[in-house]
Amino acid sequence: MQQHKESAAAYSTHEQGGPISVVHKHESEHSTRPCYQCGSCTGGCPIAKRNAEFNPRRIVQRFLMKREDKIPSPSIWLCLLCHTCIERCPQEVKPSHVIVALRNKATQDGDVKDYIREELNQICATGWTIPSMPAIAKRRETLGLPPMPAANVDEVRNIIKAMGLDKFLEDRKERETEK
Amino acid sequence: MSGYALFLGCMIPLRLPNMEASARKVLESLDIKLVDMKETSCCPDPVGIQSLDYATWLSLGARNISIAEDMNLDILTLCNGCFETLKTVNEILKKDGSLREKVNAVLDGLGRSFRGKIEVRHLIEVLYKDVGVKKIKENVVTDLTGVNAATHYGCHVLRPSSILKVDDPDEPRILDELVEATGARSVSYLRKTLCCGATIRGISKDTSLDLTYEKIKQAKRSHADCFIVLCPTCFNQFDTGQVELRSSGKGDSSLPVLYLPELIGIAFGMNAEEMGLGLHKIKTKSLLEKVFQ
Repeated sequence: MQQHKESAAAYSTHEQGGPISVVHKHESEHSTRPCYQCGSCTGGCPIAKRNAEFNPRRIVQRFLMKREDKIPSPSIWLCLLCHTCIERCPQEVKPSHVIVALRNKATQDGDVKDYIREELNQICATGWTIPSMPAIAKRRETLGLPPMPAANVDEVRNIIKAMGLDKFLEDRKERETEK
Repeated sequence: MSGYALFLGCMIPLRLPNMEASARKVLESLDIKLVDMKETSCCPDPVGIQSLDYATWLSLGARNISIAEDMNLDILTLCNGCFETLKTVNEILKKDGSLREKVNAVLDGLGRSFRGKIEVRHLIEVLYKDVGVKKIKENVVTDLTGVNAATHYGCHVLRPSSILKVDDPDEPRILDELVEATGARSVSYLRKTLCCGATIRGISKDTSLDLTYEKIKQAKRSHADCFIVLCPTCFNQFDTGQVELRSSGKGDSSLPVLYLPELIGIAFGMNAEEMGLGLHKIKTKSLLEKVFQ
């Protein structure tokens, strides 16, 4: 029973003690339309074709069927999230959504990719993932576009803090101090 | 309800304002009323932020949707990424009462709430369903016959089709029909629904550009003069990607990349410079010369 509980956690976005604990529904859905390992997901996957380390059929087998606990980094980060596997699957298993859940779990365990950390930092700074540049503001003006509207950064920061993600922001401060 | 709440996102207004300029001009010429949204944020990104934390992704998305609900308008997005996020969040939270309750507990602290009373639409749906191919044809003043276009829909306007419901995920047609309304020909090419590769740039740039290279190779085999895209991420991947591929010694292609409203704008007689076509990295001059020869 304990083992089952732990593996369920692998498919959840779990903010320990936070206001939201979203448990993905992969496991309950899987019990009604189980994967029979036909391999259509891997057959249609543009990454699997280029890199044998990445295999959505194996990921479904290991994490949905065998309930393994060890997340296979870095291979889960190679997924494009193009969702071709979802279209190919005859059982509606949604392999790319399983990968999203595994990435959430990996992140909780401390494996945060640099580009994602940068995105989060930027969103906390301006509300957008892309910094504003004077050259682009000038181009907007030349093209007759209104100035870029300001985001409500306070509300965005509030949400990020409420979800417990502000812990990922501290590293940047530390890195900058080190520099 | 009259018109749409315009959700700009990040990449179009902050990096590729030519896409915004052409979209606004074309929609205005077709009498689609746009109301700019205020106080929005990043949609957020369906790849990075969803991979980081699904619950945060839902909450930030729901906050953006709640702003359009206050305006009593459906959302119009110009970008596949914004569309995938906002449409998916909207559909999930409309259906799942328990998730909605949890997200609203977060939004409540901001004095906001997700009510589930609007729809999220992509630019292409508005052009195809609201305006229609017939009206686009009627507005063409510069017939683009002779232009061979490779259409690239992009993943996040098609898949997962059970949620997005825009077109057939394997044999989509609506972009091709809109392109052909201008007189241009939509060429048939292999790997048409293959991803542009952009979403793993930050993880494996080689693999990312390998996908881009495959798309370009197939489009060229079908004698395409240009790519037509619906998304700033795909636009950048093809436009900047070809420069990167050239400098790494892989390929020598310079296939112009046009956002659909840029192509329609040219056909409508709009000034290419005023739409910002000069801002593309892959120059569009040869294509425009072909049109205006």
